[in-house]
Amino acid sequence: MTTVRFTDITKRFATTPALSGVTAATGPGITGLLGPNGAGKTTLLRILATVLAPDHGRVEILGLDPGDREERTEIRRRLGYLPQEAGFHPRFTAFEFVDYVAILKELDDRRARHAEVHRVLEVVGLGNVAGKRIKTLSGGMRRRLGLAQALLARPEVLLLDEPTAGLDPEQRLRFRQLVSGEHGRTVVLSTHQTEDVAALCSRVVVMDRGAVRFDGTPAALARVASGRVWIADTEASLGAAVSWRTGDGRVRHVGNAPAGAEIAAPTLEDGYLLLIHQNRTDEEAA
Amino acid sequence: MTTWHAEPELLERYADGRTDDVLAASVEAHLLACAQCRGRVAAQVPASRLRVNWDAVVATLDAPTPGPLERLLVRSGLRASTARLLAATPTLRLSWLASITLALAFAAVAATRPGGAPLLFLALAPLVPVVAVAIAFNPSLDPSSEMVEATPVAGLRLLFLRTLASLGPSIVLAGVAGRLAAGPGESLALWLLPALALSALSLALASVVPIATAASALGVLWTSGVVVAEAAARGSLAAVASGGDVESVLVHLPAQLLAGAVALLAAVVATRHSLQPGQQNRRHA
Repeated sequence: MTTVRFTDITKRFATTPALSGVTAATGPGITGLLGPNGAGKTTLLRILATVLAPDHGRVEILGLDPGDREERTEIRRRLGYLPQEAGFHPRFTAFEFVDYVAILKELDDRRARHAEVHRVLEVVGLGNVAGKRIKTLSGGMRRRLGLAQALLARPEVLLLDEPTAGLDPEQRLRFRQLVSGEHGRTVVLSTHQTEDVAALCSRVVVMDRGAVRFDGTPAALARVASGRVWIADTEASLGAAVSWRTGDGRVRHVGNAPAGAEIAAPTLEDGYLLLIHQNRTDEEAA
Repeated sequence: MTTWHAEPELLERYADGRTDDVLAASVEAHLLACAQCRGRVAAQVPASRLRVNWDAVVATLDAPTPGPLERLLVRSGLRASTARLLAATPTLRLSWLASITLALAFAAVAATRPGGAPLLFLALAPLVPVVAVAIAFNPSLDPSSEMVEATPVAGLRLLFLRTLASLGPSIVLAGVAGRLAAGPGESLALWLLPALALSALSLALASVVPIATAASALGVLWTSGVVVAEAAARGSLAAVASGGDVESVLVHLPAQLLAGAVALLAAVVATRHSLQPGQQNRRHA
């Protein structure tokens, strides 16, 4: 079942192209948008969240067209969105803020709405600070507050822009448990952390410089580097796309084999790094 | 110390929530005084019910307490959720203050122009403060705008609600300032009434027609009304078209009365009919 589909999306900001002909489709499950900063992930998510219109191309969310006013409203009723720059009015309490967004999501019945606000705050672990003003909350707590409002009314499509940025490992684990428990729902999250994708996603779309470079399973992304990951004792290497010294003192090379290296099993990160490196090399050659 | 105890059957019904309010109240009065019955009832309440009740209690404690203004709005017939949106607008501090400042600036420019404001000012009077509110709630002043933008109420409905929340205090301020200032400053508050009327009426009509249609129709109505009134004052439409500085219709008494009446009507319709965000597009599920 396809719930989110975008075809040949193009978006420019002034003279800078942010997206140039992006196409993909996804359904229930967790899809990771992986890419370096400036790859166009945020622009794509904003377009999917109906807050930005593409210059060209077609978007379809839950079979509805965000370009049509009424259909856009219907999409918004069934959508949860955590923007990258989720800012807050510091004078609201955590509860008041989520309650405010809940009203904007048309949860009009006061009692049911308050129960729902309470539920989402509990889910993100902020139940005990619900009555505190946002200005007293830490960065990680604010991030979770943003997530809480996205979860309101159990949306069918959940769009999360860098949801794990600014979370400590424990909070990150909690977030993973939270998102992985959301069966039957379409989750699209952007990240530049390959661990998030490896831990959560059944599907990964790699973006770089405004275009899709890979679309498949995390295992398939790892296989991109199959036969091209090496462990050696020396750092100097010609031909390796990327190499770094790991914690055990040995050097991991991704790319062509350095002399005297042993082959190693590729990880998702190896595949991603190789892909981005190849993309850059191709572009420079062109 | 109590010597009698509640019947086990009664306690069971109470624990299940099957007693009426009167009976529940008397059981509760007894429970407060009797540790033995408290112990017996505690074991009987289903965990799911305890959880729901506890959540409701906590949610009530955490929920914002409606202030006097919000209670007044609700009492006058406005939906509680709409009243909350209006009452919460001042918490969006920077944007709210900016919108008031911009609205007052427009009124001041319009009211104090030497020789009266040109017809264009009058024609645009319902629009300028609304645009000012839209500007004041842009992402650089409103940190939550991106989250709010992705909600179904975002768009014209929210814009008009925010306009009401900004123009309310602006009109009071303009009224006070107008009293203190002599001469053209007296009409300060009047310049904000058309936008108030446009917002309130559009919201009220939104339960019947799409809000964009309502707003456009009201805009056209206003503009034609302004032109016709001006033509009547000047003798012919050609005189209006010839332009130049005109003494504003707004500062003439009939127009003032008209604007006042429209605003009043809008307020009445809006509260009676209730400003229901989303009424026409209720969730189908």
